[in-house]
Amino acid sequence: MAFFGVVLGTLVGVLPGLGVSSTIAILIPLTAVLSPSSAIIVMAGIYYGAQYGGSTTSILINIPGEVSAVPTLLDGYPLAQQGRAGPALGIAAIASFFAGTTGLLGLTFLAPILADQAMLFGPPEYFGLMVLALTVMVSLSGASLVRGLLVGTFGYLISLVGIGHTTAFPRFCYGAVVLSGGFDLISISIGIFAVAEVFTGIGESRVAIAPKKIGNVFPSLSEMKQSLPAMLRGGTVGFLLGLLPGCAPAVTTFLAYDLEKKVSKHPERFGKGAMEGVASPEAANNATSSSGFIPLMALGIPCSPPLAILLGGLMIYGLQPGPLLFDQHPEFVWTVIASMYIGNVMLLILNLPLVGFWARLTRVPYGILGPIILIVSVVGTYTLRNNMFDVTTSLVFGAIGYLMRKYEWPTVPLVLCIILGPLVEKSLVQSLSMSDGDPMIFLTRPICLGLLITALILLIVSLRLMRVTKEKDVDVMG
Amino acid sequence: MASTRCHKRTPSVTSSGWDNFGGLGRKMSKFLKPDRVVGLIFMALGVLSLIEARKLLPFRTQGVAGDDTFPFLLGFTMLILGASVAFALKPRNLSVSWPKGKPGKAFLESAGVMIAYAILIPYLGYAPSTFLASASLLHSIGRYRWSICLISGAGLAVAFHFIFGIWLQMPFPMGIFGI
Repeated sequence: MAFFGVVLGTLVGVLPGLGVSSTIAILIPLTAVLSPSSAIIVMAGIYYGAQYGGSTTSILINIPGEVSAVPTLLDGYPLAQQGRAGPALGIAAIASFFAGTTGLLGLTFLAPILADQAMLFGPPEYFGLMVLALTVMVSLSGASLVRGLLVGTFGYLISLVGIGHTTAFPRFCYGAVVLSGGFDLISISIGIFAVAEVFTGIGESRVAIAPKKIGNVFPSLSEMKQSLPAMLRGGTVGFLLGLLPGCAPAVTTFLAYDLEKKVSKHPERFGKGAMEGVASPEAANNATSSSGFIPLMALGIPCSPPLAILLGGLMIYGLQPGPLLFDQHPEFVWTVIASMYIGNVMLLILNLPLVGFWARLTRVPYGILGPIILIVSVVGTYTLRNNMFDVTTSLVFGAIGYLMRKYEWPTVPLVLCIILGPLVEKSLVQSLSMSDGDPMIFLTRPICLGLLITALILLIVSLRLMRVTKEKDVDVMG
Repeated sequence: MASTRCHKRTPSVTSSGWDNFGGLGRKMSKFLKPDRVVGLIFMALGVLSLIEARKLLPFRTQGVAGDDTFPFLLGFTMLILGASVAFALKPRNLSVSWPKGKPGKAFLESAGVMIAYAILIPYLGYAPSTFLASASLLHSIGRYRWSICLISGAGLAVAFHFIFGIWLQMPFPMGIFGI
């Protein structure tokens, strides 16, 4: 069952548009013939298998299968262009296995203790956390912070389109019903990264993604050594933040990537093909997936939409997640946890031998690969919500992404702010409602204050790092 | 001669008229660098956000914050940042090169195919339009012969139809052919 789940999950992750949530939701009725343990094992396998699969297309062809795979493509795709797709995919698989298994150890031994800590987070603390996440903008802004911030505000504006959180009144819709559902982040990401990249390739008469000879398809020992601390850091960030409801892998991967860039002695390598830039977000991604099961099982709180559907699945089988689940159904809990260990090993066994095959795809002539990427992009965006609006969105954002590249405007802050937008707004409005409009609520709660101070420190460090990177770039360029 | 003189004088009169306009045009084009245009666009978006915030204000259900709060803050931020990019920051002198010749042709053809693909899917159906788009893209990007492109396009359409339509049961538009 674990094998079936992880294979299906990997496929869901690889194919853009096929969301984890919808796949689990579709499979719930189909798993009715299975025992509760087997059904949940399949669904959990899909969930964390998709985290593995999402990185493959990010690294190879610049298409993020999942939003959480966006930070991986920042360095993964440049590595593929340099003919190092194999080591990048290998490191991604190893980092995912390493962090996923570490997260499971946390789930095994620390679930009840850690789950209680998540309850300390209210709306003001979430707002503090989102402000902390916003500091990532600085390192993703490239040469100009103002331009990065401006692009970020555009992302926030896009995230506001649709039904409002508190009034359920449509915002920025202007009578267009199609806009009331808002923009889908995946369709925007596919446009900004994949469609724009293919058109850049067409304009440059590109021969292949990696026209040169592909070297070793497996990561070397030195690359492993280089990536191990990044996996540890990324895994820790992903694990701890994964405990918080609402803190999706998309947020933790960006934070882990940013942390790695900050601690690196050569931050200027990031975005140009740094192996740590692949290892850290991949580790964070899988650690978040594993630790998300802690509040789910110990408290019955789902941290992300796929886990919410999984919670529904548990309840269908008459299992009420919460503190009593461990006492009342220990055989179920420990079977599921044991299957996750097995699933993680299976994913590594399944993915590592395929690394060579995937890496060779980067040598396929661009005249063949380019059309396939464009068609997959359209099909993938259509399958998100079965409407043409998402297809149009991806094409329009493909054009916007292409122009942004041409005029050297950063694209990643746009995606980051679309992810953070709803979270920031919700936590800000809820916090202000709690305090009757008094903004001092953010400074009087210890965790929130701590997060805001950390954000300030990180902002100063980021600005300093930005200056250092610029100076180093100038030195390199002569 | 008169005619020649007339011919000689007319452009001078015209050019003197256009000189004033051309001077303004030159000033405008000197001012309207890409960065400044983007700054102005963002200022407009900021105004739009503020208008939306004002529109949402009466619908506020809670006393101090609501659906209008974030659009208001965002609109204000966009106005400030947009103005700083448009007027305060020195615009960059970027030399942007656009695809020309064969790559330029492939670029325009591919863009046209993608737009046509998006328009045709609901009418022709997913599979036939994927076949046409795949074949056209293979021809425009890969420069393969039409016969090869049509065969490969059909293969791709069948493969995608099998994976997404039959295996994963994705409900795609059927179009006039019902495929």
